[in-house]
Amino acid sequence: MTDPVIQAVDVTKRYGEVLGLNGFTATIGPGITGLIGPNGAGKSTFFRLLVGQLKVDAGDLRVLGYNPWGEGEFRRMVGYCPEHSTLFEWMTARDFLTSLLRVDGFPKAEAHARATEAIATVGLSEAQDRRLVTYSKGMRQRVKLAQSIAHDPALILLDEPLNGVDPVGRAAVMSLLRRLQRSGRHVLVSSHVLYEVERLTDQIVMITNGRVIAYGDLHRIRSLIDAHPHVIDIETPDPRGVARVLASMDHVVSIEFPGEGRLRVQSRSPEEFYGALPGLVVREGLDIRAVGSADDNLDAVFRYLSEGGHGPR
Amino acid sequence: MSISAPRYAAGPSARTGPASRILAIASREFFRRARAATLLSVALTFFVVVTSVVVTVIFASFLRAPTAGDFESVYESPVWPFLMLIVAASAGAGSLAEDVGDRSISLYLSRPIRLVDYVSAKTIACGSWLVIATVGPGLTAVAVTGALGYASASVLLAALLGFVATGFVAAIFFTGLALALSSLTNRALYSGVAIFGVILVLYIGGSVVAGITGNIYVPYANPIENIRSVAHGAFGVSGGTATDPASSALTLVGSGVVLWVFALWRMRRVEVVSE
Amino acid sequence: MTGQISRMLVVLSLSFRSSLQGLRLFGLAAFAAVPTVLVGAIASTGASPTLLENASELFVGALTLPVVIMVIVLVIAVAQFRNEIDAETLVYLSDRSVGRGTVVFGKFFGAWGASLALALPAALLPFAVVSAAGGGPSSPTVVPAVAASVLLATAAYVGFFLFLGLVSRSALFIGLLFGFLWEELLLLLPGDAPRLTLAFYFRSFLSGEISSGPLAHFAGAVPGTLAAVTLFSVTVAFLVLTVAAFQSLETAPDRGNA
Repeated sequence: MTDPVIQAVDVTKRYGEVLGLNGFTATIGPGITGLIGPNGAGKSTFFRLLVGQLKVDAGDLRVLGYNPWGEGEFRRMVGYCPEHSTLFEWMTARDFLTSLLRVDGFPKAEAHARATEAIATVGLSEAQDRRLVTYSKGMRQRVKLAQSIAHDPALILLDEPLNGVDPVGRAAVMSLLRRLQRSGRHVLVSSHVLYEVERLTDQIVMITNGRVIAYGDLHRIRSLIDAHPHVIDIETPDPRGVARVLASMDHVVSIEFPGEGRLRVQSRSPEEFYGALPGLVVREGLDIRAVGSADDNLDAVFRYLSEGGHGPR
Repeated sequence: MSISAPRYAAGPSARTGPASRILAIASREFFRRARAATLLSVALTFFVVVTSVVVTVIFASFLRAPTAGDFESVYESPVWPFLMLIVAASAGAGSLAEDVGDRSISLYLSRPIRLVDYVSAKTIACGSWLVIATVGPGLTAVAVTGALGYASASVLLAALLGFVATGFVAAIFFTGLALALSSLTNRALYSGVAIFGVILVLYIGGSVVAGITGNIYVPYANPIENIRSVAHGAFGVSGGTATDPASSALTLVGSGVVLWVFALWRMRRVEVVSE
Repeated sequence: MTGQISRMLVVLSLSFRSSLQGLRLFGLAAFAAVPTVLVGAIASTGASPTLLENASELFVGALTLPVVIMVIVLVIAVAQFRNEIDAETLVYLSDRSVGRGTVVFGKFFGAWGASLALALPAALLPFAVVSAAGGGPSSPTVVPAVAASVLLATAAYVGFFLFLGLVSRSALFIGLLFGFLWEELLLLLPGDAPRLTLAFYFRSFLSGEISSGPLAHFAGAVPGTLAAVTLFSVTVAFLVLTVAAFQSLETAPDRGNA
């Protein structure tokens, strides 16, 4: 069995009264792993603990077998691409990367060569001698990515690396991450967008309110989500009339009347429901003013997984 | 079943003019500046001025009938200018700098207001705090002294007018200075440091140069000396190195206006770059 | 791999260059030029060389060291950690394999160098103006003593403000209060109160090294050597504190959520 890349046991981090991480437990193995959670879930807190910017208040955290707080040379094995896009604005990209590589201990000539190569890898060669203050958001993202891989680390931590990157750039970043994985690197990528991560990896860790609520194979977690009925809200002046029609659909689990002119339907198969609804409206002459889903977001996914005392899956 | 787009029944609403929009920004800015540093420094100014004036007048009354000149003594100490620097820095240094730094200026200027309206609103807010600090304590001192019965009505009136005149002139200058320095940076504390630095350099440097050269015009480059000169003229006392109160007042007000115009010019050139 | 000294030099270079950028450099340079401009203004009035020399020495003690250099060092030194923590760029150094102590020393020397690049001309160029106007120092030790005093004073202030910038979110405000309230007002108090200021020691150093002129007389001064040792010790003490603080402090911006 291979050693875990990152091992977190009951990790807790407080910001005064606020819990950034609350008993976070996860074992992250080799390859690409996605860390998924809504905004404010604790993803960036976890990354900051991994790079030693923050200290755990409780629990144990190991990165490649090391305690990330206070360790020096082990940092050469880790590359970090932070979420924020502030850089040393007055420097050029090449100067920025070269300086950081020299701080890492690379001799000047090698630092220069590695910087040039990393900049070329992220497609910024033409702009490498422009000052960073002139860079767009997408270019800054690529510079951050370049500085996280330039020193050839074993583990790369990417906090929302696709923020602000255009579709062409996204494809290039994803291709780069797959290349890194194939070359034996380990990558931990955070995002609040499920479909971005699922294009990269099958291994994910889901986090909300500072806790892990699911980790492991993506398809297994998704099947758990699909097992829960999907909630659809409908606005209509004739709720009971519409309910009578919808009740005949065998994938409809329940129908409620939460208020005047409103209907709440639970369906095991949302795709079938949405597919059949227009035909029903025309055939039965239903008067439907609005259709909405309370479940069309990641929060609902997490709500399903966290309601009813669901622990990590 | 029919589907139709909703119709908005409400007609166009009446819009207010620039004056009320300026006041809206100014009032918000005024309360925004009501931070601990501002409140503390203003409170300290009240305490220092009122105590100093009342004590001076009471002691003067042991020797003779107090005059308006006894109320002027607070301007001679180095504490008053230092307090004014703290008020100017806390109430004015961030007026423009913070909006540029956090890019909220984009939100202001995306509304139907002109840049001059925006800067005027900031001026009103900053200036209000400075007027409170420069005029308020004096009026309070006059009221307390009058309530205690240590000066005649004519002396109290003369002192009141003296505090109002000196205070407003000082407030105009410090407001212009604070806004001009605030327009130069996106970090409020840098402009606060600059306020201290500029005034102290002019104060100390001007005093040394005037003392060494004996040049009668050099004192007019020293804002603190100019304020003292205006106070001398307003309260009817003599002394100081800047001996023409009218020239001092003109220098302070003129500088304040020029600095305000500079702030406006700087804001026209500011580009709010987002990532 | 290169050693910690080489990496420290890289951090030094980064700190030095970042301190002297953009409008901040322009503002600080204009500020540093004030003593020279003032002496030049006096010279332009045809003042006698003796008067010019007295003026330039008076400025050192009353303006250049306590105001001009104080502001320059405050702005540069506080920015080393505070600006980078607020802008979240400190992570690019702290997540590297360089030791945290190395980073502190690199930032100290970088900030000291940047401060000296402005402070030394601020203090010494007025004497060049005096010399150009046909004057000379009141004592042969004036210029070397002023230069040494600037070196010692800036080192001590950089050490203090570097530490302040690391540990306090209101570092500039506290630095202002320290520089213009503590350092100025305590000097005016009787008894041993002035000995609690750094200004007391560089004024003592100057009066110890200069035998005549405005800077030679400073009431209650300690011997020049003692003053120099004190300033050096203060510098070292704050450097040690900064290293200890950086090794134990969290350097992420203070946020309630992430």
